[in-house]
Amino acid sequence: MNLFKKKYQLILIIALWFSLSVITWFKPTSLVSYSERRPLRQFPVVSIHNVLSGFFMQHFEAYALDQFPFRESFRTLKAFSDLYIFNHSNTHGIHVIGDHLVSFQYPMNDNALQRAINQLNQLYNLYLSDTQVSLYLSVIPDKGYFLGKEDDYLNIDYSKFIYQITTKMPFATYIDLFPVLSLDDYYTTDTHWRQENLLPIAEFLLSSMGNPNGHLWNYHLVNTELPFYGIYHSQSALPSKPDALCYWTNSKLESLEVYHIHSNLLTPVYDLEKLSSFDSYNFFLSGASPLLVIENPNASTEKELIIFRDSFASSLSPLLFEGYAKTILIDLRYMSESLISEYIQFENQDVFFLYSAIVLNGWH
Amino acid sequence: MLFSSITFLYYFLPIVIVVYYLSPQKYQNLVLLASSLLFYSWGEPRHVLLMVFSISMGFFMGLILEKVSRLFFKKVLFVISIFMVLLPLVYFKYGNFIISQINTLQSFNLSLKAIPLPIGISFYTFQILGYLSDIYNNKYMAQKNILHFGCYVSFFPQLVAGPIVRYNDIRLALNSRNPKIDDFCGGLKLFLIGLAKKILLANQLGEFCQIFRDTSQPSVTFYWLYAIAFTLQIYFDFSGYSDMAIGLGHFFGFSLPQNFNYPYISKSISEFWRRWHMTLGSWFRDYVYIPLGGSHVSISRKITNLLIVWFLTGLWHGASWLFILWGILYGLLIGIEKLGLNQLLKRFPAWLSHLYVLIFVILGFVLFNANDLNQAINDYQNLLGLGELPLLTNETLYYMQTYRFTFLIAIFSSTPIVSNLTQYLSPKVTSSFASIIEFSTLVFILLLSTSYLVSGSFNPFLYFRF
Repeated sequence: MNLFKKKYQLILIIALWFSLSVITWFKPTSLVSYSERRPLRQFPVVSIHNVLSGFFMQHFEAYALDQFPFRESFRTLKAFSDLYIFNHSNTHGIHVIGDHLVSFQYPMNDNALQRAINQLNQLYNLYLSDTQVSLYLSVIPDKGYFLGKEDDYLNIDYSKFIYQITTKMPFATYIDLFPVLSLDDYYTTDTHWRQENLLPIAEFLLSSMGNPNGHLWNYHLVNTELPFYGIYHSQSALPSKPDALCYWTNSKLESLEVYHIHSNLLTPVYDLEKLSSFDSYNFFLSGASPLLVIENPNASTEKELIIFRDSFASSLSPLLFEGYAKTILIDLRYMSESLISEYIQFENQDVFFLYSAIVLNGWH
Repeated sequence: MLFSSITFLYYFLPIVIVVYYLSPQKYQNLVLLASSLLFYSWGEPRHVLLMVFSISMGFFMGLILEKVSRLFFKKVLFVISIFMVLLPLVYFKYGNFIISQINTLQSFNLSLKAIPLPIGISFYTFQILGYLSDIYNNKYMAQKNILHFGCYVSFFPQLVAGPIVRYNDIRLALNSRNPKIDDFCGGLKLFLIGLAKKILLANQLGEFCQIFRDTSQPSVTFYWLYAIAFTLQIYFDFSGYSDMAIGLGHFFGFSLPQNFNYPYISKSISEFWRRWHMTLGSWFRDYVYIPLGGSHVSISRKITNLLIVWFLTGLWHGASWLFILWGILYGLLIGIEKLGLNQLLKRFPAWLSHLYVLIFVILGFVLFNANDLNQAINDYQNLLGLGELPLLTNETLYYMQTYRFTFLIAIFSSTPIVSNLTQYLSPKVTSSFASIIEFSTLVFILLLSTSYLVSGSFNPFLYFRF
């Protein structure tokens, strides 16, 4: 055991430290972090101005953090330390409850919710109040709603949350999704709901919006066979079991095309190319987009559906297409409401405000 | 540049150590001076000139003071040199405070300017002041080599947050030093312990304080937890940084003075200040309190001297009446202790003396950390349950639960229990076993601290503002 005499101890620690240091200097620069779904900082430009202003130093520190060798392993070590050494209830804001990773919505952001309500009211006054449209509203609970009923966690008061939004948007018929959803309807590593569990939800929504027959098309379930690591997995840096990414489809649905108005592109409903992107969930309707139009020549009706939505609608809406001749999806986070009239004439469509509690509680 | 940063740990420090040890001995001070200026300019590229000015001023005034033999001229020169050295500190740190006081008193409307405070200015100014005072009092010869003097003032381990090193402490080492492997080992151990104190404890306690300030459900209990958390945070933050500085000093063959000695186990406020920021306390004692007459004067004069010292101690921490109040609070408490409370405290059971110290220290740090007097008053009202807050809320309970281990580890680590336990167990285990445990702990600390840095965790440093 002479190995552990003082000077050898010193040599070993210095060797470890300096090895990490040498790897830090010579490690090739990475462009992106797939697990964190973001580009990594690159070496800042060296110039007299950048150095004297301190810009270079600030950005170098960010670069050094991003490009540190074994970054993922160090993030995981920190996560384990948070949970198992310091016994924190969460790491990087993510709680581990059973198989689920979850970030609770807390506290309730009254200002954000009010901004959302104001914008939707403004939209109503601008385009919808003098029309024959049928208006519906649903709020998708965050999965923390199902996990945070114990006193051990801080969670928003959902009844107050829903009360605020429904009383301030009296023009829309509220379709309550809370009782028809359960924890199993959500991915374990992500915020979103699983499309494979959404057929009854879609049927419930179609019938609530005046399609009493519900689903007429026959779907079959396909498993993409690719591991899906959601956003909570990325944030927590904890090793976790991936979710399966499955989807309902049939030949009629596969024949539909999604028209992206802003980029003038046509994509399939399920965009296989996106399975290899940062976020495989973008597989549904190719991810975030300001305005999408889906025409359904197989529809047995002339009715149109307009959904004001966030990303949750990307996986749900393909199951609603069959009930309408045309479906338009608008994401107000990427599109100014003043531009809507350039693309849509509101007459007698079904207009559905479908937002998740997460987005409403953080509305900008 | 922060010691607790990837840039320092994995870029700057390894390069400096390698270059330092590859350099011939006669160039080692030059390496240290150049590294220190680079270290300083990393965070303050423009203010490096100010530091060079202060170094030059201290160096040349020291030489001149030594040469002048007539007392009158020496005194005049000493006053001028003190004035010149203090000028940048007064301008950058106290300029706006002085202007706002003049505006308040004289109803003037002098405009305030946004003046960024150069990092570490209070520390290096006090080192130069102490040096000049010692030269004036013929305690030692002035340094003849500006490189050595620059190395003393700007030595990066202690540049930005102390400890305040006396020239006499490292005078000999500046000329020649020969670090032993034992020094290096001790330094490495101290550095890593300091790093853990800062990153693993202070930063987490800081997170808790931030959560408290952002809470939507305050409670009396939450206020007390915040006060305790901040008291622990500032200790681990500052003592961690001091440990790192002392450890780094050993790397280069310098023995820097101890700055903290488990202050929270004190049984009186006087003892607390002998254990807290020891180099600042001893600086004020030697360069202000004793020249004012120290304890060998009448009671009233002694109390006045104490209040002057503690007024200045408060002011040293920041240009704000809150810091001054904080300093005077300690001045009064120490005065009361000297007037007889000390005798009474000795008759108290130990736990009561500890409680007395902890309550005043915790309440003192609430004042210290408040943004303004209104916030301090509000904090005190809520701590005493005079606000309209509930005793406990869900949020308080949740965060109490979440941070309970952090609090426990921090409280445990702020006492000498671990050190005593190690000493007690050392003879009972084989030296190899002890070495393995020590080695594993140090490696674990290095990797774990790195993991918190890499994850971009909350990483402020409280004493930078001084």
